[in-house]
Formats: sequence, C-alpha cells, structure tokens
Amino acid sequence: MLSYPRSLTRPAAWLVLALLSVSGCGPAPSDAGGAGLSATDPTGRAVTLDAPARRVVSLVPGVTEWLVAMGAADRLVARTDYDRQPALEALPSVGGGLTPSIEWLAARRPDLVIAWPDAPSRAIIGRLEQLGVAVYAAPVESVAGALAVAADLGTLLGAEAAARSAIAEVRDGLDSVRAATRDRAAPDVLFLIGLDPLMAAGPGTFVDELLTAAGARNVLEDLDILWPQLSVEAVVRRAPDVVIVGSVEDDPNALLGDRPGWRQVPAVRRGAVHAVEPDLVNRTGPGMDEAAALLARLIHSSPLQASI
Amino acid sequence: MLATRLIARLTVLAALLALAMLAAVGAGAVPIAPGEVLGALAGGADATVRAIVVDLRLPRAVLAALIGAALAVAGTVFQALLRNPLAEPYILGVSGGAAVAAVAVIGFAGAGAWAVPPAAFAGGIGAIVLVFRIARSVGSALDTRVLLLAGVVVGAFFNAVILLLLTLADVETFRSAVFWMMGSLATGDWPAVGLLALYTVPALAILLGLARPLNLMAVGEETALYLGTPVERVKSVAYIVASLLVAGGVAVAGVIGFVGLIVPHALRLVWGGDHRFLLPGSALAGATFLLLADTAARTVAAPVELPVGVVTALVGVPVFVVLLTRRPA
Repeated sequence: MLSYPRSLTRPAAWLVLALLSVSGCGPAPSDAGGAGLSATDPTGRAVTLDAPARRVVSLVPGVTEWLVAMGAADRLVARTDYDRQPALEALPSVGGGLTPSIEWLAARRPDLVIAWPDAPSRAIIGRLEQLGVAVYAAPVESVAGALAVAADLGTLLGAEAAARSAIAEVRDGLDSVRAATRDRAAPDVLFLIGLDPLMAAGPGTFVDELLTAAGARNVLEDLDILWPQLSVEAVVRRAPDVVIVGSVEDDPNALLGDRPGWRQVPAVRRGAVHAVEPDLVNRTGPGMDEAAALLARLIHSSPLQASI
Repeated sequence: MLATRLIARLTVLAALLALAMLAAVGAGAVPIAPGEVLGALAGGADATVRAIVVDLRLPRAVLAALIGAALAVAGTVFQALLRNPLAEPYILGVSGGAAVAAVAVIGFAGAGAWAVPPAAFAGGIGAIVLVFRIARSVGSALDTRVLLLAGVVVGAFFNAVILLLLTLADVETFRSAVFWMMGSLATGDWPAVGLLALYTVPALAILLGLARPLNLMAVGEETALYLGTPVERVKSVAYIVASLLVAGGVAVAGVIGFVGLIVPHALRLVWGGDHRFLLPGSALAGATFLLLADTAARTVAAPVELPVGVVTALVGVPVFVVLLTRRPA
C-alpha cells in the first residue's frame, strides 16, 4: 500500500492535484493519498476526508467485518464487544457500541468513525463532528446497501481496489447460491430473529434477500413491516415448511414443539426447524454469501452442488 | 439570626456544588491528570485533551447542573402546590406529552436528531395546556386536587399512547425511543447549554420568588388568602413556570427520574420545610446531585455510558431511605 509523507497534507496535496488536473494527466483517484476523499452515507450526509483514513473506529460490527476483509484491520484503533475477529483482539473495546463515551472515542484520535444511524447515535455523531472527526453513519438494511457502504469505505480509506474485490467476492458468492437453487422448488420459510416475543424477518430486510437467494419464499412476503412481531396464530396460518431461528438456543425443534400451537406448523412436524449462529445472519458483512449458502443447505436439507 | 443560618447553609451547598463541578470536569472515561485538566481550562494542553475537557466535559457538567437545579426546584414547587409528598416534576404529565412527541418524531416523521428537542418541548407544552384547561374547567378557582388528578390521568393516557407507538414501531425506533426516555446528558454542547441557561435561570428566579407565598399556602390556602397572598395567581404561576422548567429539561435531556422527588425531601428531612431555604437549597443540591450522578454514569462502566436516570435512582433511593429512617420520631 502506498504511504505518503505526513507533510503532503491539505494545501500541498490540493496544489499538486490542481496542477495535475490542469495539465490533464491526473492520476487515477484510487489509492492516492492526499486528495480530498468524499462519500455520501446512506443517511444522506456528506463525509469528506483530506486524506485516506488512517485511524478508524467502527461501532457497527458488520462494517468492521468489511474493513477487515479489505485488509484494513491495522487501521482500526478500537473495537466493540461484538467484534471477535482474532486480528482485533488486542484493541481496546468501546463496549457494546450503542452508548459509547464520546471523550473515550475522541481520545483514540480517530479520523473516521463509523456509527449507527439511530437517534441516540446521531447525537454522538453531532458531538464528534464538532470535534473535527468525520463520521459515516451506516444502517444495516439491504444487501445492496451494505455493498454500497463497503464501496464508500473503500473510497474513504483509499482502498478502492481491495473493497472492489471484497464486494465482488460476496456478489459472486450470492450469484452462485442463486444459480445452485434456481431449479429447485421454493419452500415456504419463516425466519425468526427472536422467540420472546416472536419477531421475524419481513420483506425488505437483507435476511429476506438472503432467503430469496437461497431459493426460499419468505412466508411474510405480503407484509410491509421490516421486522414484524408475530402471533403464533399467524405462524400456524402461514404454515411454513421450514423455520429458521437466529439463536444459540439448544434444540429448536424441541423448543418450538413444546409451545402451544406450534405442533400444527408443518416445519415442526417435519422436524425442519433450524438454529443458526445469530452473528452469521444478523450482519450485512462480507460473510453474507456464506450465510446464504448455509441457509440454502438448511432449506433444501441436502448439501448443494460443489459451487457453494 | 435566620438570615445568617440561611446564608451559612446555602454556602455549604454552594461549596458542595463547586466540588461536584470539579469532580465532573476532572473525571471521565479517559484518565486526565488534574494538572492537565487545569491546563486545558486555561487554554493550554494538547488539542485532544482540550477538546475533551472544554468541549465535552464542561458543557455537559453545566447542563447537568442546570437540569438538576430545574428538576429539584420544580419538584419542591409541585410538592408544595399539590400538598402531596409523592409529587415530582413529571407527575402532571409534562414528560408524557414530551415523550409522545419525541417518540413520534423519532419513529414516524423520519426527521433528523435536531427535530427531537423542539418536538419534545412542544409536546410538553401541549400537556401543560391540556392539564391546566381540565383543572380550570372544574369550579371557579384552581383546585390543586383536581390539578393533580388531571395531571395523573393525562400522564397515564400519554403513557398508553407511548406504548402503542412503541408496539407499532420498528426495532430501531424502539431502541432510539427507549434510550431517549431513559434520559441522557450526552448531547450537551455549548449552544444547547446556553439556550437552556437563558430559559432556565429566569424561570428559577421566578420560582425562588414564590418562597413566602408557598410557605403561607403550606399552612392552608384560606389562611394564606386572609394574610393577603394572591393565592390563585400564585398557584397558576407556580404550576405554569415549574412545568415550563421541566419541559425545557426534558426536551434537552429526556426523562431523568428521582432528582425532583428525592432532593427536596432530603433537604426537608435535614433542614426543615421553610421555602425561603428549601427553594434555593433545592437548586444547589439538585445541581450537585445530578452532576455527581452523571459523573458516575460516565465513569463507572467506561467506555460504556450508563443511563443517568438509572444512577440517580440506584444511588438516590438508598441515600434517601437512610435519611428517612434516621429522622427523629
């Protein structure tokens, strides 16, 4: 990776860039330190850096995974309790990442912070920006959104090439899962993210996209709520063939079968209730293609072709 | 005699407030040596340390002091006005009205973070007007028992609306709304603090001026009336100004519980119920209490911040129980 001397910061770099562009032979923008880097985050805020971010804090675990996949683990200066990658183990943790101490963050001297976009975090974003720290707010909503976020971060870190290849890998992985499941009948699937209360992945969520890629039909496809709370009646009526629970609980078959009403659900009768590691399916990280492949294997109950 | 004792007590409380202020600025998630803190306050030290001390800790400490003072004084006034020891700043539904508006804006308007404080303030004002109109529509004079009941039922109604909104809300809104309702001083930047100070200080001054009439009304409204107190006007002014004070605090920092309930009672238990002392004393002690609670919230689990309302209750309630039980029978 190219590294530029510290002295080549704002004024000098702008001058160089201006001269180059006037002479009509500017360098390719990628991996060029010193140029003004900018991106618009999914909440519509413009994020601008004078130079590629060197000290980064990501409060969003899915985004952290992308940064690691781009080979930028060494630029992270803090992690959250949910980032368990070995490469990040030595970093100090900010805790859960939802109510971080602003002064602790400031003391890590980051030049870029990736934050959640919710209301309490927006207050933190405002305070960090007043302190001169660039903040990129990243919601976790769709596969395309996650890929766009990854591309933006590639720009802000001056690592476009690495970001492009990480993104292509996920895109190709999802395509091959789609190809492998295309000719199979699509079973009706219910994906539960929580049991008490029953909460499921509705259409418009990235989980729904992964289910579709895995060759399933989401039984909630007619709802217009992202993460609806369901009654058992609704589940019985929609009669899913397969239920997947994002949970580390023991045997989900026994767990659901013991509950009133669940015995009527085809998935429970068939023994087609599966538990998956929540981290694998609750993050729009670079593991999304593997998550889709896992879902495909569970949904179609037999290992798919070697393409996965 | 009385004046000197008053001044002595208030001096003690002011000194405690000054110490709490030092503790709040000196302590945080990042350990900074006292010398460096002083250097930062004087304009020296390195840029990050100066940013932490001057732009993060100091405005937040001033915000905590302002809101603590406002809540404790409002609590004192409501306890006197309603002649009910359970009265606290949120008992008349101000926080409920503010929360309904805040949750609605967070979840459904898709507006930015800037919109939440004005919406919460407007919601608080709406609740004040509603409760006052209900209370005034019964009889010719303002019956404080009716005011209390009106406030409690309006508050209960707003709580139901909040639960309804939260049930319909998506996960992210739910989380944002719950965080907002737990209260936080993390948003305290200088412009917000300045605006709140301009609003809070005059309101506090008006309420502090009600000490004598509130003393007389504590004996009984009729007695106060015979002694020449404009009872109806005092009641209306006390209710409206104290409620406005609370609405401002809720708009900036959400709902921070227990300060307004415990601080006035603690002072009464220790030093008696004379409002000439109780009102300024509550302002100083409330500011001190919330400052210390927020300092604990920032440091105990650092770098995670605890909700300050959790700390005020966890620390405030045991202290209060001790005061309550060692009271001479």
